[in-house]
Order: sequence, then C-alpha cells, then structure tokens
Amino acid sequence: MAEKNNKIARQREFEEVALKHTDALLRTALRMTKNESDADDLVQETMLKAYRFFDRFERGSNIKAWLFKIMTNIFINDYRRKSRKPTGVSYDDIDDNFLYHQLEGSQGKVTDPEESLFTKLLDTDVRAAIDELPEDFRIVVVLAFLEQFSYEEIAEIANIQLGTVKSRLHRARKLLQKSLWQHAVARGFSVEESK
Amino acid sequence: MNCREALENLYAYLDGQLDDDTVERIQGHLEVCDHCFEAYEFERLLQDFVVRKGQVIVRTEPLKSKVMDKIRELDQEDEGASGFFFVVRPYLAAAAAIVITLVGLYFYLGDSSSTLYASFVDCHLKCNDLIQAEQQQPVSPAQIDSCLSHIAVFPARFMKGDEHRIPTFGEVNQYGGEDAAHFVFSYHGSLISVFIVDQNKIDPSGSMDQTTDDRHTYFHSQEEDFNIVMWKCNCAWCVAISCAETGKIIEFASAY
Repeated sequence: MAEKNNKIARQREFEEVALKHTDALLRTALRMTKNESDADDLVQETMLKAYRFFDRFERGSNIKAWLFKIMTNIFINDYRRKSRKPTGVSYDDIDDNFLYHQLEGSQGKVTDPEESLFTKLLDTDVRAAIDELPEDFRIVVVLAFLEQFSYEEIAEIANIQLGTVKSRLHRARKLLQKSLWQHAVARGFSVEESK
Repeated sequence: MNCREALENLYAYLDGQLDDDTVERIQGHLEVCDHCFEAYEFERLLQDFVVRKGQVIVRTEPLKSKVMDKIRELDQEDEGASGFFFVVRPYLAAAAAIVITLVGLYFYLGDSSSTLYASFVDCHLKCNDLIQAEQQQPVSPAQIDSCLSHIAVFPARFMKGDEHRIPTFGEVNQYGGEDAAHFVFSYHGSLISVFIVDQNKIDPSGSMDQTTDDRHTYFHSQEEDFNIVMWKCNCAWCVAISCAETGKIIEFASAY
C-alpha cells in the first residue's frame, strides 16, 4: 500500500516538475526530426525514459536541461542512425556577418529589418533555413536560439566540448544567413530594389 | 577596444556569454562607432527575427495526457509483474531470462553519474561510427579496443593481458533497462558478451565467488548454463556472460 502511495506521489511530482516542459521539448523535437509524428514519438519516449530514471534526477538541479539531454541522446542514438547522411556542406567560403555584408551596399538603414530583407521572408523560410542545417549544427542552433540555453548547458546536453558548441554555432550562423539570403532572393528580394 | 575586437565578440555578446567587463568595453565602443553599432544592431534584429519566426506554436495537451496515461499504465504493470524481463532472441529467451533475473536482482537504481553517462554517450557515438564504417570495410579489433579502452579496464585474470583476447564488436545497448555499453570479445575462440553498466551500487550477492587480484575484485559464479563475471572499474560495473557449455555469446536484443 505504501508502495502504491509512493508511486502516486512520484507521478504527481513528475507531472508537476517535468511535464510542463513538454511544449519546449516538442518544439525542439520538431526541428530535430523535421516531422510531426517522429517529434511526438521522440518526446513521448523522452518523457517515459525520464520517468523511469526520475529517481536519479538530482532534485533542485536544472530539470529542463536534464530532459533535453535525455531527448538529444535518444535522438542522436536512435533517430539519427536511421537517417544519417553525409552532410558535405561547405561553410568556410561564407563570410562572417554574411547577410549584413550583402546588404551593406544598399541605401537606407539595413538595421531596419521590417523594411528590408525581412519583409520578404516568411515563417516557413526561416524554419526551412533551420531545417536545412546539418544535424549537428541544427541541434546547437535550436538549443541556443529557440530554447535560449547557455553554451555550458548546450555542451552538457549535447555532450560536446564547450569549444565545439561555439564553433558549431558560429558555422551554423553562417549557413543560416546564407540560406536566408537564398530564400529571400528566391522570393524576389534584391539589393537593387532596396536601394 | 577596436572594431576588430568588437566584431569578433559580436555573437558571444548576443548570446550573453561575455563577462561584465568585456560587455562594458563593447558598449563603450558601440557608442562611438557607428559602423560596429549598425552591425551589432543588424545581427541582434536578425537573431530576434529568426527566433520569432522559428518558433512554432505547439499543442501538447493530448501528448501530455498520453504520457501520463502511459506512466500510470507502466506503474500498474510493475505491480502486477514479478520482475523484469529482457527482450531476447527467441531461442535463448528461456535460458537468458534465468540469468537476467539472477543478475538483475543485483541491480537497482542508484544515483546517476553524469560524467560516466557522458562517457557512455561518447562511447556509443564512437561505436556508431565504427559500425557505419564497417559497412564499407571490416573494423579492426584494434579500433574497437581503442574505442573501449577509455571506459573499461578489463580484469587481468579473465581478459586483459591475454593474447587471445580479441574484441570483435561493440555498441551501446541496454542491460536490465539501464544504459549499458555492450562489447563482445573473442576469448580463446569463444565469444563473451560484456556489459558495462552505469551503476553506483550493485550488490553482488553472497552466492557469487570472489577473486581479488592487484586491480579488482571479481564476483563470479557458474550457473548451470552460464558463466557470469562482474567487476567494478571506473565507477562502472562490468558484467560478462558466456555460455558454459559452448562458450558462445549470449546475445541480448537492444531495448531501443
């Protein structure tokens, strides 16, 4: 009987502290798997695993990071294995601040995004630009930008060195900017027009 | 601070990764340098834009209740079940279940060690790469050995220092529902399956024999059909199992 009460208490605690991160997990899972049904499965698997190991979670420490670590781990080990392709993306020929330099030549304020490039880009363009990133970079971008984790937290979650977080994020930004540029151009944006 | 320094720190600044002193120096520079100010503003707005547009609104209510239903279901099943079982190859299922139940009794959930967990993931990734590479060319035993050596020191008495010890296979697997690194060694021509389990506390029962050498204490026992050896290294428990009669590996299916 006591055991049963324990279980109920455990369920309640889990519901209270862990379940509220489902939204954040699902948002990230969507960008990781690029597929709604896989994302649902991934989050569900993450939650069940987290519950199974809930006794090991150090109370009072960062549960969001802990959940994301579990999810990232499952994703890398399981989902990635299914669909791992060589990336072969070249990013070294992209300048830092690529977009800014593209626009720098134009007249007017480039710092007014609503008036320039950004009006051309749709939500779907931005998501596509993120989705097109090679997976290792995508994970870091999603954790840093969309979930606002610190570099240290990302290193812990994705199990990579701090330096790797920085370099991946840096390269990912270059790729992201180039991709956004291409999407904007495809929608008819040109520097000439904004001049 | 000059422009080069300011631009180098741009992203770290946006990500809030700089110390107060550097932040202050950057802000001082931006006040006097229009060019850098504009570059910073552009990147900041761009990042805000990406974050805003990249966010999707998700509906998670059905998912949440599904998760809680599953959890209640699992807890209920636990109550009804007499122990835990592995998914095993059908032809080994009955035999393996005996071993699993025996060894499984020694396991219970302890505190997690994040460092150790990290090394499992690391090992997993390396082994994954090996397995990927294997599709093109055979993996050499030396490769597996180097992939394993940072995590496991194999007992001198049973494995290490024997020229016949040849690793043949490695992957991350599950053992007793726990994350485990699973390795297979060829030992005197027999395959031995080794699991390395992230457990702080396993209490091998008194029914196992003990042997101690200068490195470790080994708990071993010969069951009717299986030989089991357990030893602790680098805070992890290693469990090796081989079939007593044929020396053949007992292969567990991954729980993934």
